[in-house]
Amino acid sequence: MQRVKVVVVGAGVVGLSTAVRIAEALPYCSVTVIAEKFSPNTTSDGAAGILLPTEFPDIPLDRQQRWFKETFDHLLAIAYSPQAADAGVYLSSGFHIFKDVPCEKKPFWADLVFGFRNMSDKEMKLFPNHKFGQAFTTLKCECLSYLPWLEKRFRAVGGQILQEKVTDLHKLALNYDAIINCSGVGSHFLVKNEEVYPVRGQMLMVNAPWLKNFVRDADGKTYIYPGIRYVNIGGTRQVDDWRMEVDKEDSEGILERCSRLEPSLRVAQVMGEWVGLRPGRANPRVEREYLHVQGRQVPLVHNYGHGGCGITLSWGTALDALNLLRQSLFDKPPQARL
Amino acid sequence: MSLHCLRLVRARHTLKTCLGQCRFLFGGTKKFDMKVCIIGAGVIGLSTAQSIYQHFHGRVTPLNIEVYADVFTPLTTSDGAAGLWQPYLYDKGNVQETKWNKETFDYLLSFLSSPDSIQMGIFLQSGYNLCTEPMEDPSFKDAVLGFRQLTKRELDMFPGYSFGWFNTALMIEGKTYLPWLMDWLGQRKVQFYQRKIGSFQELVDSGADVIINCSGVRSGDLQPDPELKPGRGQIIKVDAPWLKHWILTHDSSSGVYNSPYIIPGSCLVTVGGVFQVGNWNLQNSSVDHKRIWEAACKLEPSLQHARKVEDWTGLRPSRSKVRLERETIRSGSHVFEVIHNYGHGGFGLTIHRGCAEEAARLFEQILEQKGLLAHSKSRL
Repeated sequence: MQRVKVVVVGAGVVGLSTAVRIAEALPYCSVTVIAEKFSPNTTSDGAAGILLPTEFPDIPLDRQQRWFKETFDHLLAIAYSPQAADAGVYLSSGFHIFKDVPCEKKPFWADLVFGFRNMSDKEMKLFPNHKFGQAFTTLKCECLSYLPWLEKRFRAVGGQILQEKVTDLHKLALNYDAIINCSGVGSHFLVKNEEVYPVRGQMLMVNAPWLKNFVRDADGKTYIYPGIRYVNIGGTRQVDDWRMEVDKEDSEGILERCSRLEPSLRVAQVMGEWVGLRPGRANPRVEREYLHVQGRQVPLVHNYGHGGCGITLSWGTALDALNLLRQSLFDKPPQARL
Repeated sequence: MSLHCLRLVRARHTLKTCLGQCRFLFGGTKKFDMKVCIIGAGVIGLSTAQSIYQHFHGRVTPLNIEVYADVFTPLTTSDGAAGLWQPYLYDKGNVQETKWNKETFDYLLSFLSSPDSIQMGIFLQSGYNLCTEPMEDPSFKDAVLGFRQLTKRELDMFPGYSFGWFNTALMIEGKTYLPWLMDWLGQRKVQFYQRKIGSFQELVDSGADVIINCSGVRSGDLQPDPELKPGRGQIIKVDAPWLKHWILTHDSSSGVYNSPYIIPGSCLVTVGGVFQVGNWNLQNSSVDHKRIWEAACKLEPSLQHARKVEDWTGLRPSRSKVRLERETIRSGSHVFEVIHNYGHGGFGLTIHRGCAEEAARLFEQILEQKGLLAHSKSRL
């Protein structure tokens, strides 16, 4: 029997997660990942990988909770298995601090992480310039390890990898029965969709192995995320900024702000700098349309625009994408390609 | 030492005593050689030297502080310890110890706001205390940061454990802290002598005015103490940098520290769980190694692929309670003062500053009795 040919565009965390879920759940599909960039050159690879959602305005909260919980539970099982080191997934505890007391003191994901609570007065003394804080334990997922781990899992169920830049989805549809678009910020060009825009983030990798707890300023521009081989400190949130080069002033600003939060960083050695473009969008786009190609209706499932929450929502949005694909193959079984 | 030398030393000592008495009678400034000899260069010995210096270097002149030990960093018991600040769960009525523990925590915490904290080996780390059954709140719940009970979801990560706590505590790594202390003391002209002291008398004969006994597990060699026993511990140091929490387990049936623990450090992770009372064997045991490793991998499955770096064995100076007190010893016609500061079990790093400050208080009592302080009001 002819297998249904599915192609996933993009090999970042969303692309690979989606590809794995489809390949494992739908044995009647043969799945190919096609992308210009692979690990270690994707946006996901540089990201610190702390699981920490933000609230999107137009998606029902229960769906956002489901996206996060699905991802959290999946990664937690890995963190507590012998594969944790290989996959780069582990528990991370820390502090989320606010310069002013927020109106919304309990975010929608508070019960999905571990031990969410307000910080005590003694803990707040560690951050004299901040008035309020939350402490919790979440997960950290380092894509430099996780993406190769996902790729191994993908190949183990017969997944194929193609290194090629996709510029035309209609052309791609000539050779496949279904397309899943996980091209991240690339969707800006690929889908001619200006709703997705870059949010530039710069980050430093610092040698400070004594740092174990994360610290994040709620404004999103100052954070310290201890990792396996280095600590990620950052950051920036520059909208519509496509620059991939390191900006020296940004680096200085990051070091200064982070050292104020964590004085021991002043004696830490900077090992590297990195820039990534978050695929910004008002809300992640997880929906299906159809491409009309040579008399065929080819389902095109979009799964992009996760902003700074790609890793955080990867497994959950991948499930939605899988379900959209499954439903469309059922609704409109693929016709023979000419 | 030759008889001649011995006579000279004895004569000098007698002269000193006479001068002391004269000063007491006639008042005036103290130009008197006060020699404090500290036995032991682990965290207790070095921190006691520091407290003595901090409180008295301006008030007693000249103040000579000497540290004698058979081993110095990195070969002391303090060097091998993982360095997690955490007392035993319960102090069994030794409320002084809880006070000294908290004093140490607050003291170390105060350094976090400066970059010096790294040179001292101090940093924060959060973690889990896991129990096989519900337990009363531990002695340290108010000293640490963010103490709370574990939720059921968290406990699901640790099969076999049904109760526990989470908090943020401090790490104080002996391998870094001790060199920092030695540096600090050396800059202030404290003298170090590497030699095993056979008896208190030996130091008295060479001119010690006050002896501070911080000799840890081998205090029994200087003065028999049936309450002091070695609490042998063995650990495995592992490369597992993805681990960011310490995990301690408590099994009332196996006893304190005889249950697995995993404590990430600034470089390597310390894996342990052995506390053998009465065992003096400093050799690593492969039986213990296997037992520790299997228990730790069950507790933390991700360890299975971690690289083991080295094993180490240390003898905790375990005692029913810390011996921190003065003793006046008569030897022939001489009377000399000893301050004992030993028996800190598995919590030496945890309690060191509180004990050092208390030892300094005891030292002040001695100085006052000898009339060596210009002001009689205690500054401590």
